[in-house]
Amino acid sequence: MNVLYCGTVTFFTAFLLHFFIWKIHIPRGNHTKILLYIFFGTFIAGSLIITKNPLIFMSGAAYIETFPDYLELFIFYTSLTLAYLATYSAIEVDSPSLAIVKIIADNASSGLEREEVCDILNDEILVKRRIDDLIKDKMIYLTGDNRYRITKKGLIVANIFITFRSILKAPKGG
Amino acid sequence: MAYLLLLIPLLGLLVNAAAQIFLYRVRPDKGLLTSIFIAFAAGLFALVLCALILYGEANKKDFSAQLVSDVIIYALLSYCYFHFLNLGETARRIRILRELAEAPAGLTTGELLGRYNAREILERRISRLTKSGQIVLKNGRYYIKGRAVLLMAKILGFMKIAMLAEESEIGLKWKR
Repeated sequence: MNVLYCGTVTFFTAFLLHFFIWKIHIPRGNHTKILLYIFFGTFIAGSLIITKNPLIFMSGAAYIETFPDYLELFIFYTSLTLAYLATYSAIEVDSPSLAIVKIIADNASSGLEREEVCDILNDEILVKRRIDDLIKDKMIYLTGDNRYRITKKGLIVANIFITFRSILKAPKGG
Repeated sequence: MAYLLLLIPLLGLLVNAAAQIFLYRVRPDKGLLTSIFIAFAAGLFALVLCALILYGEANKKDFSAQLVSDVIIYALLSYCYFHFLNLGETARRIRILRELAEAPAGLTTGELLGRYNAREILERRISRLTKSGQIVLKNGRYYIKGRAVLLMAKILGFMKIAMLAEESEIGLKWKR
């Protein structure tokens, strides 16, 4: 249980750090990368504290003693961090499904026609902003003759999903 | 043996992923979500079975505490796998990347929108939301029927305000 306790405390310490940094100033650039630095930086610092040192031992607080426990802590903490990052990405970008439901709910008494939903959620909002995100993340670039082309980084990401979706025998998605 | 025990949640995830792929390939008509739920249960079953066998050999005293820890790690990893599947299924960025990966000469905005556009995105989602009973079509107009997705939208909306201090990138107002 020490692993769960120490892992949870370390995670919430990192979360609070992230929360307060975001409250002071929301960083520019890739949030996922910055969050990874914050969460794993806190983990490294936390691992040094929660080891069996005299201060922790005398205070009676939970500590980690053996190498397998450290490994288990690392697996638990990494899973928790990845789960949070997955949730964070859902907060960052508005999901079209959730937007549709919200727009219809805002017009609950009169309802909405399909065309009215399409007028609000158009190509500019649903597609072009994601193209801009991909350019910012250096996954695609715009050539001189105004054509979007994929970068090596983008191709690696695309191939992971193309391969996995072909194993699933699933269509393109999106 | 202590190192082997650490692999139990990972083994659960492996069973989960294998079962999910198998189920979806065999019965795609049942939908992705059904395969995810059944595969999660299969992975959990494999995890408990494996824990019972290995802990027995290791003669561990704190079996229940270790099992709780393994189940939590397994659930977290499964949640990440669910997001990975969801990215392939619904993420617009991934779809745009796929379209560009298939066009080595690149695509203009018009060509890209010809292959993938807001109308297609909305058609898919409206169909999905209607099938799952979240919205309903009456006399050519859509109304809210279920509350689950709306609740999820509100929770994410409030989290967005709390974390990013912004309402919505598309101007949706959550404070109501």
